Amino acid sequence: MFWTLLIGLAVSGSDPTSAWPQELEDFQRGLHAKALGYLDVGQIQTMEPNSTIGHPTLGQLDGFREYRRVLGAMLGPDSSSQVRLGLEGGWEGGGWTPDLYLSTPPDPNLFHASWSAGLCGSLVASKLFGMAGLHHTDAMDWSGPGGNRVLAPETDLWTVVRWNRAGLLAATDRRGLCTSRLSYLSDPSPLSRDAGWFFPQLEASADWERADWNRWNGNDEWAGTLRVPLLAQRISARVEAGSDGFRLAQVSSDIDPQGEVGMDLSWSVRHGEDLPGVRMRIPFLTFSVNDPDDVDEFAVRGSLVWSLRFRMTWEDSQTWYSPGRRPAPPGAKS
Amino acid sequence: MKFRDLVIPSLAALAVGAALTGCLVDLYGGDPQLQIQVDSHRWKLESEGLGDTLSPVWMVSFDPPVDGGAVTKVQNLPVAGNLNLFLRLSDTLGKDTVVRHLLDAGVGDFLKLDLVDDSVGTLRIR
Repeated sequence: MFWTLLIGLAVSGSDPTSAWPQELEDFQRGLHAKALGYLDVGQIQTMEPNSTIGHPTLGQLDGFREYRRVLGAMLGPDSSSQVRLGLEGGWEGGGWTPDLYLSTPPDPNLFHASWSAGLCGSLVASKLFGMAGLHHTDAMDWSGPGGNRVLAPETDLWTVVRWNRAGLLAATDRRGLCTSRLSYLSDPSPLSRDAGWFFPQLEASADWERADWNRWNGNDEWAGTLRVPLLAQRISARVEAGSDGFRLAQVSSDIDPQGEVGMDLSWSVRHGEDLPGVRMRIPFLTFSVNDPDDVDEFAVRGSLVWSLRFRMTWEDSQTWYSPGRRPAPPGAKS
Repeated sequence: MKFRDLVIPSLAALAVGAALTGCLVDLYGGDPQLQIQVDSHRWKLESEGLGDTLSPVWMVSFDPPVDGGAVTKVQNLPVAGNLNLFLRLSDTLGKDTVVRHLLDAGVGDFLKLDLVDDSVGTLRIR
């Protein structure tokens, strides 16, 4: 029944691969002065053949989309230190694959790779965290009956800053500013001790995205996001709208306070198309259809997507959670 | 929830995922297969391939070329879909030509193509 529902929600479509902007948002949401590190390792794949994938010489292919990622940031291991320095590094690759055997495609041009490297540091007493680095996407080129096509390599500089509850994200390349984001992500202190059902982690952000970094409609746009906890840490709502209008509404439920286990229901409008979405999350595994985050990250629309994924921010060996979450303070209702 | 509390559910999730993925692999159906019969008395099949003739993604050469009345071995195609198939042929005078054909090859399909001369001697693919 559930799988029937998932498949019934599916509509066809695909977008260019665009995982990096979303990863930057996760950096900004996940890292803060007390964080010791961040890890995102994943294999993400569609589970249904999709014939909308065009190849310049082979034709219109029946196959699957996949994406692989190994990305991490690690600060100095001394959690008692007031000044921490660290490194960020990552590799991402993905594209089209002919089967579900975790294989690579016969044409290497169908696999698009990128990497990033950066430095990070934090001043714990000032609740200041910062990270900056370089991100590079490899070139793609091929020749065919229709002529030669080249996708130029791209390199951008990016920075993420978090000070107390305020955050800043920016990325720039040779053509100027790619994206910028101002955000407010509360620490998990209740807005009111008496109102135990309305805390913590209120989150709001305002974004500007250049057309080629806009995963929603390919235009220069402003956007705003608001995430509000509705029932302690267990159910939360999220609304996002841009200068192009409504983008998404999502209700998330979490069984655990770390935000790793739960179900998300959403309704989004992408390229003018209504997309009802659902996502199930359990440790390491996620299944989704049209989930706006999965579409943002892995450019897969209208297909059941599974991911074998481990993504977390950690503060010490016993404290870890998904990006954007923090453990509730002692004594808090949950 | 602490890290060690997640070990057993995580291992269980991995097992479920592996089993589910295995089932899907079984449902996948396999690569499409292609066999070509040459019924032309003028042309011999030198090679078959997918993509650009100058830098094909996949190609099989036949040595010796496949004569009229013979069939090729069944070949597993590397991809499924509406594919740009090309056939490189030579005639009895040693003249080469390349024929293109849009091949509708679904996952798990077996496809057989016939190369024939029509009434005016033009090569046709059926």
